[in-house]
Amino acid sequence: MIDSPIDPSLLVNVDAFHYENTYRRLCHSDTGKASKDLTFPTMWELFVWGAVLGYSKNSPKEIEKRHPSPPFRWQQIKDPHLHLLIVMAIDKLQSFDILKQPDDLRKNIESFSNGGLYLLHEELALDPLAYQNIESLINQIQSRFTTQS
Amino acid sequence: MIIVSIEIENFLSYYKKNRLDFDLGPTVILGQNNTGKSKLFDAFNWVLYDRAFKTTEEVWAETKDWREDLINRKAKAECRNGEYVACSVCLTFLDEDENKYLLAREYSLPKSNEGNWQIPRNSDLSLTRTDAVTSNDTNFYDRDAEEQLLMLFPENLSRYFLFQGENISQIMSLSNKSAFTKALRDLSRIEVFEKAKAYADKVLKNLKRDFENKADADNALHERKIRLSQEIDKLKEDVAFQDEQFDNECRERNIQKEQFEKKNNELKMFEECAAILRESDYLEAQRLTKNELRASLITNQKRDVFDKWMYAGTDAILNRFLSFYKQNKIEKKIPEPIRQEFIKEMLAEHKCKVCGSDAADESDAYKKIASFLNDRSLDKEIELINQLSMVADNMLDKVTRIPEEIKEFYLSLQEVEDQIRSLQNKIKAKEEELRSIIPSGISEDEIKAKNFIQIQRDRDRFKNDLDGSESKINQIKGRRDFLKKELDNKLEEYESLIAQSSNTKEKERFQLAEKVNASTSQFYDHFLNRIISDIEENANKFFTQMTIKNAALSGKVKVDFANKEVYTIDEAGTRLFNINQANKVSLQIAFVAAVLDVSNRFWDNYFPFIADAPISALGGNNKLTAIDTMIEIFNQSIVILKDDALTYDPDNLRNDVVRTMIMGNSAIKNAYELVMEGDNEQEQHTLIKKIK
Amino acid sequence: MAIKNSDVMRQIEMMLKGIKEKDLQQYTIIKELLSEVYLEYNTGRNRNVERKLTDLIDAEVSFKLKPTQQ
Repeated sequence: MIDSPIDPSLLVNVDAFHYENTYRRLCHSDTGKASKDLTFPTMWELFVWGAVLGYSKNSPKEIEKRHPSPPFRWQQIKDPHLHLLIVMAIDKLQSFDILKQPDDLRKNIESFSNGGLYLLHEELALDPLAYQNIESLINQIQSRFTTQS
Repeated sequence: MIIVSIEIENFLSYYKKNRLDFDLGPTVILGQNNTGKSKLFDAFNWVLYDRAFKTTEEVWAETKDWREDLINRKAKAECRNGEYVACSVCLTFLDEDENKYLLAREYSLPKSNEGNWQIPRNSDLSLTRTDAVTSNDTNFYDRDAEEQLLMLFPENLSRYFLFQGENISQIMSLSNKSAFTKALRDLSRIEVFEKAKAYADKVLKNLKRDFENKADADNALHERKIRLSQEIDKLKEDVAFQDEQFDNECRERNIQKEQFEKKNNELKMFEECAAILRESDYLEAQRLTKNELRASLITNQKRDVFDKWMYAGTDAILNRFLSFYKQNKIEKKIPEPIRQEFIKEMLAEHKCKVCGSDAADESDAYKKIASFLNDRSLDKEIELINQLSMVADNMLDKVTRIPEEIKEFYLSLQEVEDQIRSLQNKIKAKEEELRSIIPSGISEDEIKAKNFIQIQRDRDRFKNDLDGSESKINQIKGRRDFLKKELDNKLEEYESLIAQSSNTKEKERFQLAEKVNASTSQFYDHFLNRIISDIEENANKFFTQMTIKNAALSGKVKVDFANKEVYTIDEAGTRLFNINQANKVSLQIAFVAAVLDVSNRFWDNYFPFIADAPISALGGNNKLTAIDTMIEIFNQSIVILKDDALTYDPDNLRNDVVRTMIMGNSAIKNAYELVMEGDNEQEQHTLIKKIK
Repeated sequence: MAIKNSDVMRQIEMMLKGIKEKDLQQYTIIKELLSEVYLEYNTGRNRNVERKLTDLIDAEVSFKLKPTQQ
């Protein structure tokens, strides 16, 4: 794999609101360590989930208040997820030039993930059990293409 | 006898006037626990025989000492000082000639001005008979009414036409032969012939004594007569003694048999419970395994969810990216990367192979070419873009397969869940099965801890006693036969002596008494045998009807009167010992029904069959066929059924099944449901709803 | 008091038919005996059946012996 233009040692910015309300609710606490009982074993997976949602629904949202100590770094996002997020960012901007501005790329992904997590948050408000366990996740996924078709 | 209606006022759970009408044919009365089912049965018993079920002592008892308890609580509470409260039950019925009877039993309880109950002991009974032809009324009161009533509804028969299912084992226990014998005697009225025989015997004895006491002209003949008579008397005494021994030993054997069967049933019940518990445990273990399988199915799927499934629905984005990439590629916006060897080649040849210009040492062009040496940034960017296109392409391929994969996942999940559900149903059915056989007050743990070996030992001990008793009975039989033979010889000799006597009158009286005696005996035997074979035939018919849908071995009914037992035999006539509980109960009902039916036909006097919870002891799929049979057998049946609304077993009798049967059976003209009305205990009383 | 259910007696009579043809004397006695016992059975009241049976036998014997005495 070719390294992404994003400096892997940088911390991933997340909104303080989501850190408190979404990450801490659905993932294991601060360390981001996997736990088989949780819907999202790690926080970066929830970040990716949010970004996929944000890009799919075209719903970016700037981070209003950055959490002071972001919980994970870009290097923690495993292959090929980061690449796929970059693909989506390029698609959104319809330009490869973003690859030359790693900061913008980073912000773009962060804002879409942030927007996606807002959508997730709304879903949770309607149905508190929507992200209860892996089965409900699968249901969510299934409903995506059943409503599409 | 056909019951037309019953009217119940302030009696037990019935407040004010309540009325039920009956037709020829079946009437079904449904009710859950404590809605007044048994109180209705009490009402029939009270009006006919002044008895009711005393719940505090759990016995049927005459009500003369506790009549005030029969009055409805609410009615009693509403009674003002200086007034009285009365309860009554009125029964209207027709006899075979369509004469109409109105039977009423009433009990009044006055309350003094100070508010004390003044308890009278008597209830008033009245019977009005309206002649079918003349329409004339004849009234009977108290003792006279009672006497008339007993001729219409003989009390000895009452336990059979007023049939209580919950006490079936007491009345009809297979091991308690005396109950069967009593049933047979009561229902077939064999007692009439037995009594006749007893009187004939007694008179014969008296006349024989007269004959013997009168001296004969021939002294030698007289002495021989006396001696022989004494010998005969002695032999008769001996035979009677052996008969008594035989009876006693039979009774003894019956007790032992009852104990043996009780232990055997206890053992069987515990073994059955233990087997069910074992099966339950096995099913539970299977269920746990399947639950684990389900959990692991989901856990295993977790990786796929985060590796690819979460991209479901992004195919549009991926496609768009790939088109964008291709378009850029075509438009050459994404140049091919410049290989380092190619740069080194250009520098060595001092020529730019991209634009074709010369590049001499230190020239601008040379410097420009040299600047690309070791600078991989452009290459890296282009390589990244290519890499991204490969990743996107790869994921697009995966994304299109996700719906299929999810479908497969759900199918395998569904399969496991179906298995779990089926196991859960099986476990519930086992629980239900267990509840139906487990005695109240015994827990599952107690059954698991039960010492089967001790029960087995007790049972084997009773079996030994039983075998000993059987062989004793055979010995007595042998002795008795020997004595009887000797007696016959002496009697023959005695006959010849009578013929020689000159005391004509005494001789004639004695001989006539002997003839009457012999005929009465024959009459008795003939009558008995005929009835027994009729009963056997009918019991068989009903038993087959009731057990037809049951796969378990049922056999044929055998009424063995010589040994005073009713049991089942196989095709070859061999006694069956291991029939299941449901079939045992069916056998009992079939027997009662057969005896009552034969009695009805023989005497041409129909009794209605009023049954309280006739099938509560009957498990499984014999229930509906048992009800069908009861309905079919009797001219008029009033069947009071417990509404088993809460049951999981699909084979069990639920109220919807009963209701469907009631509505679907055109023979049933009337059906009622009893419900309890009132918020508190003081207010609660039975309400009768007509449901058909 | 008459027997309530005439059909009962009809049944008994049917069974007594054999005796009636062979021995009228005996038939009369047994028929009466059974009706008395039946009444006693149904009402539960003592009807002195033993006495009645003895009287019946005596009556039949006296009737039989009368012509020979003359």
